[in-house]
Amino acid sequence: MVNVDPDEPLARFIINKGDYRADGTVRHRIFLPSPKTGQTSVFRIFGLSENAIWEIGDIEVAQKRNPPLSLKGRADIFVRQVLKTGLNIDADDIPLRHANITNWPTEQSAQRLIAMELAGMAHLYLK
Amino acid sequence: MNIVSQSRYSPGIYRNSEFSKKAFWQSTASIGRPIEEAIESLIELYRQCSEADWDGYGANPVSKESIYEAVEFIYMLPSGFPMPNILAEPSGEIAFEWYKSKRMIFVIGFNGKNMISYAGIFGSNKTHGTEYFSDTIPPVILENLRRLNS
Repeated sequence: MVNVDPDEPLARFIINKGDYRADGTVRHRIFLPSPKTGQTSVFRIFGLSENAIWEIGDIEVAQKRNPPLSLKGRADIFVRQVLKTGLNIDADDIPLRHANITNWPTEQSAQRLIAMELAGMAHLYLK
Repeated sequence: MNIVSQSRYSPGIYRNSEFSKKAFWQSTASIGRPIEEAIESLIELYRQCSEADWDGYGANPVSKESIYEAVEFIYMLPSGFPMPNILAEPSGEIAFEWYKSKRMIFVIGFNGKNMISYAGIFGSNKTHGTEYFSDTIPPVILENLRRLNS
Protein backbone atom coordinates (compact mmCIF):
# COMPACT_ATOMS: atom_id res chain seq x y z
CA MET A 1 0.00 0.00 0.00
CA VAL A 2 1.22 3.51 -0.86
CA ASN A 3 1.61 5.97 2.00
CA VAL A 4 -0.48 9.13 1.85
CA ASP A 5 0.40 12.45 3.42
CA PRO A 6 -2.35 14.09 5.52
CA ASP A 7 -1.73 17.38 3.72
CA GLU A 8 -2.14 16.07 0.20
CA PRO A 9 -5.29 16.79 -1.77
CA LEU A 10 -7.65 14.23 -3.27
CA ALA A 11 -10.03 14.78 -6.19
CA ARG A 12 -13.41 13.18 -6.61
CA PHE A 13 -14.34 13.69 -10.23
CA ILE A 14 -17.88 14.84 -11.03
CA ILE A 15 -19.79 13.57 -14.04
CA ASN A 16 -23.31 14.56 -12.90
CA LYS A 17 -24.45 18.17 -12.70
CA GLY A 18 -26.68 17.26 -9.78
CA ASP A 19 -23.62 16.71 -7.62
CA TYR A 20 -23.11 20.44 -7.09
CA ARG A 21 -25.27 23.47 -6.40
CA ALA A 22 -25.58 26.80 -8.14
CA ASP A 23 -23.89 28.49 -5.16
CA GLY A 24 -20.67 26.60 -5.88
CA THR A 25 -21.01 24.01 -3.13
CA VAL A 26 -20.80 20.24 -3.44
CA ARG A 27 -23.65 17.86 -2.63
CA HIS A 28 -23.01 15.00 -0.21
CA ARG A 29 -23.95 12.47 -2.87
CA ILE A 30 -20.62 12.77 -4.62
CA PHE A 31 -18.81 11.33 -1.59
CA LEU A 32 -21.16 8.47 -0.74
CA PRO A 33 -19.52 5.06 -1.24
CA SER A 34 -20.35 2.87 -4.19
CA PRO A 35 -22.74 0.08 -3.19
CA LYS A 36 -20.62 -2.25 -5.30
CA THR A 37 -17.35 -1.66 -3.46
CA GLY A 38 -18.34 0.10 -0.23
CA GLN A 39 -15.65 2.67 -1.05
CA THR A 40 -15.38 6.10 -2.66
CA SER A 41 -13.01 6.32 -5.58
CA VAL A 42 -10.67 9.34 -5.63
CA PHE A 43 -7.39 10.42 -7.19
CA ARG A 44 -4.33 11.85 -5.49
CA ILE A 45 -3.49 15.11 -7.23
CA PHE A 46 -0.52 16.56 -5.33
CA GLY A 47 2.10 18.15 -7.57
CA LEU A 48 -0.03 18.03 -10.70
CA SER A 49 -0.92 20.92 -12.95
CA GLU A 50 -4.58 21.76 -13.52
CA ASN A 51 -4.38 20.32 -17.01
CA ALA A 52 -2.89 17.09 -15.71
CA ILE A 53 -5.62 16.77 -13.07
CA TRP A 54 -8.39 17.22 -15.63
CA GLU A 55 -6.66 14.75 -17.93
CA ILE A 56 -6.84 12.07 -15.21
CA GLY A 57 -10.53 12.78 -14.74
CA ASP A 58 -11.20 12.59 -18.44
CA ILE A 59 -9.22 9.45 -19.11
CA GLU A 60 -9.78 7.45 -15.92
CA VAL A 61 -13.34 8.47 -15.04
CA ALA A 62 -15.40 10.15 -17.74
CA GLN A 63 -14.14 8.19 -20.73
CA LYS A 64 -14.29 4.86 -18.90
CA ARG A 65 -18.06 5.14 -18.47
CA ASN A 66 -20.28 3.23 -20.85
CA PRO A 67 -21.20 5.28 -22.79
CA PRO A 68 -18.38 7.79 -22.16
CA LEU A 69 -19.51 10.89 -20.29
CA SER A 70 -18.21 14.41 -20.13
CA LEU A 71 -16.43 15.57 -17.03
CA LYS A 72 -18.32 18.32 -15.18
CA GLY A 73 -15.89 19.15 -12.44
CA ARG A 74 -14.25 17.85 -9.33
CA ALA A 75 -14.52 18.09 -5.58
CA ASP A 76 -11.14 18.46 -3.87
CA ILE A 77 -10.57 17.54 -0.26
CA PHE A 78 -7.47 17.00 1.86
CA VAL A 79 -6.52 13.62 3.27
CA ARG A 80 -6.52 15.02 6.82
CA GLN A 81 -10.11 16.16 6.39
CA VAL A 82 -11.14 12.66 5.36
CA LEU A 83 -9.24 11.08 8.27
CA LYS A 84 -10.89 13.51 10.68
CA THR A 85 -14.28 11.92 9.93
CA GLY A 86 -13.02 8.47 10.90
CA LEU A 87 -12.59 7.23 7.35
CA ASN A 88 -9.35 5.90 5.90
CA ILE A 89 -7.50 6.21 2.61
CA ASP A 90 -6.32 3.16 0.73
CA ALA A 91 -3.97 4.32 -2.01
CA ASP A 92 -3.94 1.32 -4.32
CA ASP A 93 -2.32 3.22 -7.21
CA ILE A 94 -4.45 1.23 -9.68
CA PRO A 95 -4.64 3.10 -11.96
CA LEU A 96 -1.78 5.45 -11.20
CA ARG A 97 -2.64 7.93 -8.39
CA HIS A 98 -5.89 6.18 -7.61
CA ALA A 99 -7.07 5.75 -4.02
CA ASN A 100 -10.22 4.71 -2.20
CA ILE A 101 -11.90 6.31 0.78
CA THR A 102 -12.59 3.33 3.03
CA ASN A 103 -13.88 2.36 6.47
CA TRP A 104 -17.41 3.66 5.87
CA PRO A 105 -19.96 2.75 8.55
CA THR A 106 -22.63 0.31 7.40
CA GLU A 107 -25.60 2.41 8.53
CA GLN A 108 -27.00 4.51 5.70
CA SER A 109 -27.73 7.55 7.87
CA ALA A 110 -24.19 7.50 9.29
CA GLN A 111 -22.74 7.31 5.79
CA ARG A 112 -24.89 10.23 4.74
CA LEU A 113 -23.81 12.39 7.67
CA ILE A 114 -20.12 11.77 6.95
CA ALA A 115 -20.66 12.47 3.25
CA MET A 116 -22.36 15.74 4.22
CA GLU A 117 -19.37 16.67 6.36
CA LEU A 118 -16.96 15.87 3.53
CA ALA A 119 -19.06 17.88 1.08
CA GLY A 120 -19.01 20.81 3.47
CA MET A 121 -15.21 20.76 3.53
CA ALA A 122 -14.66 20.11 -0.18
CA HIS A 123 -13.87 22.71 -2.80
CA LEU A 124 -15.67 22.59 -6.12
CA TYR A 125 -13.82 23.15 -9.37
CA LEU A 126 -15.84 23.19 -12.55
CA LYS A 127 -14.31 22.18 -15.83
CA MET B 1 -59.60 8.93 -7.06
CA ASN B 2 -56.80 11.40 -6.62
CA ILE B 3 -53.25 10.59 -5.72
CA VAL B 4 -53.56 12.07 -2.25
CA SER B 5 -55.96 9.40 -1.13
CA GLN B 6 -54.05 6.76 -3.05
CA SER B 7 -50.73 7.62 -1.52
CA ARG B 8 -51.82 8.30 2.02
CA TYR B 9 -54.44 5.70 2.62
CA SER B 10 -54.34 3.00 -0.02
CA PRO B 11 -50.98 3.06 -1.76
CA GLY B 12 -51.47 -0.48 -2.99
CA ILE B 13 -54.00 0.74 -5.51
CA TYR B 14 -51.38 2.43 -7.59
CA ARG B 15 -48.36 0.48 -6.45
CA ASN B 16 -49.58 -2.43 -8.49
CA SER B 17 -50.19 -0.36 -11.59
CA GLU B 18 -47.78 0.93 -14.20
CA PHE B 19 -45.64 3.78 -12.94
CA SER B 20 -45.98 6.58 -15.43
CA LYS B 21 -46.24 10.31 -15.74
CA LYS B 22 -49.65 9.90 -17.36
CA ALA B 23 -50.92 7.87 -14.42
CA PHE B 24 -49.71 10.51 -12.00
CA TRP B 25 -51.27 13.42 -13.83
CA GLN B 26 -54.59 11.67 -14.33
CA SER B 27 -54.92 11.80 -10.59
CA THR B 28 -53.33 15.09 -9.60
CA ALA B 29 -55.83 17.63 -10.81
CA SER B 30 -56.13 19.79 -7.72
CA ILE B 31 -52.72 19.81 -6.02
CA GLY B 32 -50.63 22.93 -5.49
CA ARG B 33 -47.84 24.01 -7.78
CA PRO B 34 -44.89 23.21 -5.44
CA ILE B 35 -46.23 19.69 -4.98
CA GLU B 36 -46.72 19.35 -8.72
CA GLU B 37 -43.13 20.39 -9.29
CA ALA B 38 -41.83 17.97 -6.67
CA ILE B 39 -43.72 15.10 -8.26
CA GLU B 40 -42.47 16.10 -11.71
CA SER B 41 -38.95 15.99 -10.29
CA LEU B 42 -39.52 12.52 -8.84
CA ILE B 43 -40.85 11.19 -12.12
CA GLU B 44 -37.91 12.64 -14.00
CA LEU B 45 -35.51 11.27 -11.41
CA TYR B 46 -37.01 7.80 -11.77
CA ARG B 47 -36.61 8.04 -15.54
CA GLN B 48 -32.94 8.94 -15.15
CA CYS B 49 -31.99 6.63 -12.29
CA SER B 50 -34.02 3.43 -12.61
CA GLU B 51 -31.15 1.47 -14.13
CA ALA B 52 -28.03 0.35 -12.32
CA ASP B 53 -24.92 2.53 -12.54
CA TRP B 54 -26.89 5.68 -13.34
CA ASP B 55 -24.14 7.75 -11.69
CA GLY B 56 -21.23 6.12 -13.50
CA TYR B 57 -19.85 4.95 -10.13
CA GLY B 58 -21.86 1.74 -9.71
CA ALA B 59 -25.07 3.08 -8.17
CA ASN B 60 -28.08 0.88 -7.43
CA PRO B 61 -31.23 1.61 -9.42
CA VAL B 62 -33.94 3.73 -7.82
CA SER B 63 -36.99 1.58 -7.07
CA LYS B 64 -40.62 2.42 -7.69
CA GLU B 65 -41.30 1.75 -4.03
CA SER B 66 -38.89 4.46 -2.93
CA ILE B 67 -40.55 6.89 -5.35
CA TYR B 68 -43.96 6.06 -3.89
CA GLU B 69 -42.74 6.69 -0.38
CA ALA B 70 -41.23 9.99 -1.45
CA VAL B 71 -44.55 11.02 -3.04
CA GLU B 72 -46.41 10.09 0.14
CA PHE B 73 -44.01 12.18 2.19
CA ILE B 74 -44.51 15.19 -0.08
CA TYR B 75 -48.25 15.01 0.46
CA MET B 76 -47.85 14.63 4.21
CA LEU B 77 -45.44 17.55 4.55
CA PRO B 78 -47.29 20.28 6.47
CA SER B 79 -47.80 23.55 4.64
CA GLY B 80 -45.22 26.10 5.68
CA PHE B 81 -42.31 23.72 5.28
CA PRO B 82 -40.27 24.39 2.14
CA MET B 83 -40.17 21.77 -0.58
CA PRO B 84 -36.86 19.86 -0.65
CA ASN B 85 -34.29 19.46 -3.37
CA ILE B 86 -34.74 15.97 -4.73
CA LEU B 87 -31.94 13.62 -5.74
CA ALA B 88 -31.05 9.96 -5.93
CA GLU B 89 -28.23 8.45 -3.91
CA PRO B 90 -25.86 5.66 -5.00
CA SER B 91 -27.62 3.21 -2.67
CA GLY B 92 -30.78 3.68 -4.77
CA GLU B 93 -32.51 5.74 -2.09
CA ILE B 94 -34.42 8.88 -2.96
CA ALA B 95 -33.02 11.74 -0.95
CA PHE B 96 -34.76 14.98 0.04
CA GLU B 97 -32.34 17.77 0.84
CA TRP B 98 -33.16 20.95 2.74
CA TYR B 99 -30.13 23.18 2.39
CA LYS B 100 -29.50 26.59 3.89
CA SER B 101 -25.70 26.47 4.05
CA LYS B 102 -22.87 23.97 4.48
CA ARG B 103 -23.50 24.04 8.24
CA MET B 104 -27.30 24.07 8.10
CA ILE B 105 -28.50 21.11 6.11
CA PHE B 106 -30.91 18.22 6.62
CA VAL B 107 -31.25 15.20 4.33
CA ILE B 108 -33.65 12.26 4.48
CA GLY B 109 -33.76 9.12 2.35
CA PHE B 110 -36.44 6.66 1.25
CA ASN B 111 -35.50 3.07 0.51
CA GLY B 112 -38.95 1.71 -0.35
CA LYS B 113 -39.07 -0.39 2.80
CA ASN B 114 -41.06 1.99 5.01
CA MET B 115 -37.95 3.42 6.60
CA ILE B 116 -36.64 6.98 6.49
CA SER B 117 -32.95 7.46 7.15
CA TYR B 118 -31.94 10.99 8.05
CA ALA B 119 -28.86 13.08 8.73
CA GLY B 120 -28.50 16.71 9.67
CA ILE B 121 -25.86 19.32 10.40
CA PHE B 122 -27.06 22.28 12.47
CA GLY B 123 -24.05 24.48 13.11
CA SER B 124 -21.77 22.47 15.37
CA ASN B 125 -24.49 19.91 16.14
CA LYS B 126 -25.02 16.76 14.12
CA THR B 127 -27.64 14.05 14.07
CA HIS B 128 -28.51 10.93 12.15
CA GLY B 129 -30.81 7.95 12.47
CA THR B 130 -33.55 5.82 10.97
CA GLU B 131 -37.29 5.94 11.59
CA TYR B 132 -40.24 3.81 10.55
CA PHE B 133 -42.43 5.60 8.01
CA SER B 134 -46.01 4.67 7.25
CA ASP B 135 -49.07 6.83 7.89
CA THR B 136 -47.41 9.93 9.34
CA ILE B 137 -44.13 11.75 9.15
CA PRO B 138 -42.01 10.67 12.13
CA PRO B 139 -41.89 13.46 14.75
CA VAL B 140 -38.07 13.53 14.76
CA ILE B 141 -38.09 14.42 11.07
CA LEU B 142 -40.45 17.34 11.65
CA GLU B 143 -38.43 18.45 14.67
CA ASN B 144 -35.27 18.59 12.58
CA LEU B 145 -37.03 20.46 9.79
CA ARG B 146 -38.25 23.02 12.33
CA ARG B 147 -34.72 23.23 13.71
CA LEU B 148 -33.43 24.04 10.24
CA ASN B 149 -36.06 26.65 9.56
CA SER B 150 -36.23 28.30 12.98
